Amino acid sequence: MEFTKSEAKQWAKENYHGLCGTLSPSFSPDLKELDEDGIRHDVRNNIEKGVFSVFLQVEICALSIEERKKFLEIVCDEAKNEVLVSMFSGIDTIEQDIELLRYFEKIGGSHVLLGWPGMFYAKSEDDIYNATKTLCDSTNLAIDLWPKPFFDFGRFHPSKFNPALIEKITDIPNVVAIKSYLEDGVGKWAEVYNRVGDKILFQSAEPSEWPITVAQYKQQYAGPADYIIFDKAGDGNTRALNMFNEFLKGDFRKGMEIYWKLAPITLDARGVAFQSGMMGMKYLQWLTGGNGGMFRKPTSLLFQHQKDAMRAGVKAAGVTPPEDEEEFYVGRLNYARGMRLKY
Amino acid sequence: MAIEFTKTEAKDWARQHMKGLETVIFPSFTPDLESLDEEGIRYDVNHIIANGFSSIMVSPESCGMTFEERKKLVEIVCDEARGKLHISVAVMQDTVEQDIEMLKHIEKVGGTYATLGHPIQYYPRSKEDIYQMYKYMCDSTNLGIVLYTGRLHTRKYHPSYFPPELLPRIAEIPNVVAMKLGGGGGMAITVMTFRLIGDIILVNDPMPDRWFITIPEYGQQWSGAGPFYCMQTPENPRMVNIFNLLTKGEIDEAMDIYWELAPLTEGGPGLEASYFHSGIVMAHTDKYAHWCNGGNGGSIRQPTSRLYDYQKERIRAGLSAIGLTPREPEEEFYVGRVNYAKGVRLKSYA
Repeated sequence: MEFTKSEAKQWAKENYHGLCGTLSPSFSPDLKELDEDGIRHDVRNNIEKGVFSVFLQVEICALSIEERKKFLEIVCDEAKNEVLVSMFSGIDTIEQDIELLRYFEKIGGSHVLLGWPGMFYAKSEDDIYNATKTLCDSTNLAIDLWPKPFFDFGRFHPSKFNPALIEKITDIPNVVAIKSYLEDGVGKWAEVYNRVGDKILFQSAEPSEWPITVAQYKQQYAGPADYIIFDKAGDGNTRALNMFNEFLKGDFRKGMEIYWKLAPITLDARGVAFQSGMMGMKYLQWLTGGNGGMFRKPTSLLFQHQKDAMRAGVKAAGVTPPEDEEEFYVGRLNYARGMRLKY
Repeated sequence: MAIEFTKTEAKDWARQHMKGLETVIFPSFTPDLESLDEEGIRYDVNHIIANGFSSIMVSPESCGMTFEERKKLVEIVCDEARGKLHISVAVMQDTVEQDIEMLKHIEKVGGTYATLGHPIQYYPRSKEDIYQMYKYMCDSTNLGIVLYTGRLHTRKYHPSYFPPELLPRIAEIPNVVAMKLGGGGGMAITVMTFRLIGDIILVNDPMPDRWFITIPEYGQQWSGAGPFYCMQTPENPRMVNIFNLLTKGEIDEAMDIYWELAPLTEGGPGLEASYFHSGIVMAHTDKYAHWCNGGNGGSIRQPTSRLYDYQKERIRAGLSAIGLTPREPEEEFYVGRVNYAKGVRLKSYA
């Protein structure tokens, strides 16, 4: 690690600048194995779009823990010396999360987006704090908090995650940032900002919120989120990053000019994608040059009307999507090698 | 255990034997979620039998599991349920090849039939493609097949989400014995399906409010798989009673029980949340409600739906409103009832 725990907050301030992009797993067409080339393609695509970091969505479909480790290895290897690497923590159990964090630290990960696993039932806010501290203490990685409502702590505070508890957690040395959302409630957002905004990095990953969170509150980074969906892979354009930078340096009008050009994706296609969870997002990535490929069950379904709506959004933002649906199912790289669906 | 019928006898066998309600069984895990909780699974099988269901459907696709674990789950359920009720398995996982392997496994370990859908790695190029692929899977097994189209959603071919002209062709495949309609589909789909294939195979609408039409008008003789234990207990098997009363023509008596259940069924506590659009089985809420009514419970692995306080509170409030007493304490749900009785508790990180 480049930093000690006591240096972690400072390290983050120096190193988190710009955008952190996401990566979901790609599989061979029989869904039996990870598609290493497809995953590497998506890492390259993110780097080309100017991200400072890539984030692994290790939780979004069925993978064995060995496969999750393999996924981490491939991405750490491809991203080495070019961008930082982050991952999600909060899958099944605290013990499994710690095992993955330790492994990730060993192979070159730098930070983690921290959630709470399914097999965790807090009886009090102290329980949440203690479990969080156990997780943070188990690793030297920098920790970004993700206090989303879906971790189910609403019984303790109507904001679904008590801002006072967030403040207490941010005293843990390696907690360096919070991923936050205006859409989770402006009151919660404002109180968290008030409590910890000058202590750790506080940011919204959502481009739709940047006219406020970047332009007015000057968040210095954003993510993880899908930032490869705004321009075609290989076209040299980085409109999402450009928008972020315009807002940050204070040229609000220029930022808004890009904002409206990207709105058919930001506001429309992305909204449709999330109806189908990350499966929809995988499709949207593929439309703009990502590898694509189906996830294993259980995962959300993806319907033709959703695909059509995403396609329309991408076109309206000036990107020409690929035509043959079959390429999405087998993955872009496999398709190029002549692989096709059976039956 | 050999299957009791040949392919040519399958439809007759079904008409004679597939009656009553089929419910679903989800996996139980050890509290570290590392392995299947065999005792918990066997406990649930017996609780389901005590509830008076005629068939049990294994749901191996409901959360993150290896293929070997999915097969093991099927094996445990078959072993515990054999000879006591019919055993089905939901087959709609990753690929056609994997689904066929699962069909062979079900046959080997003593399942009765399979609820066969479509795997996720499947994109039909034409209507004929849908038929040929389905026939290919049916031909690979001697099991009876319950046709299930609820995860394919080919609305591009027909607004009912499945090409209607394929239904009679698929129903004529010898070992296709029944069809389960997708929960949450429109009433027109139900009526159309009974009209198209109700004379060839056993059509089943799993939604209880539909039974008041489908049983008297179309002779529906079985229903499911549905999480009917969320609404009843072995002491008062209301769902089984409604269904049986309706098949005997005692509609008013069935209606009386239906209205007792109104706090659950009429805009109720999330028990009838539709799987229709997400494709992810909401096993967590169903498992929780089953635990409230005496099932094993136990949290399940990601990825699956999460389970929130407000959902749990609504479920408990609904069950209390129909006169049931939901179990306590919450911790028992997380580790599973059988484990809790052995003294197993959630870990503490204090």
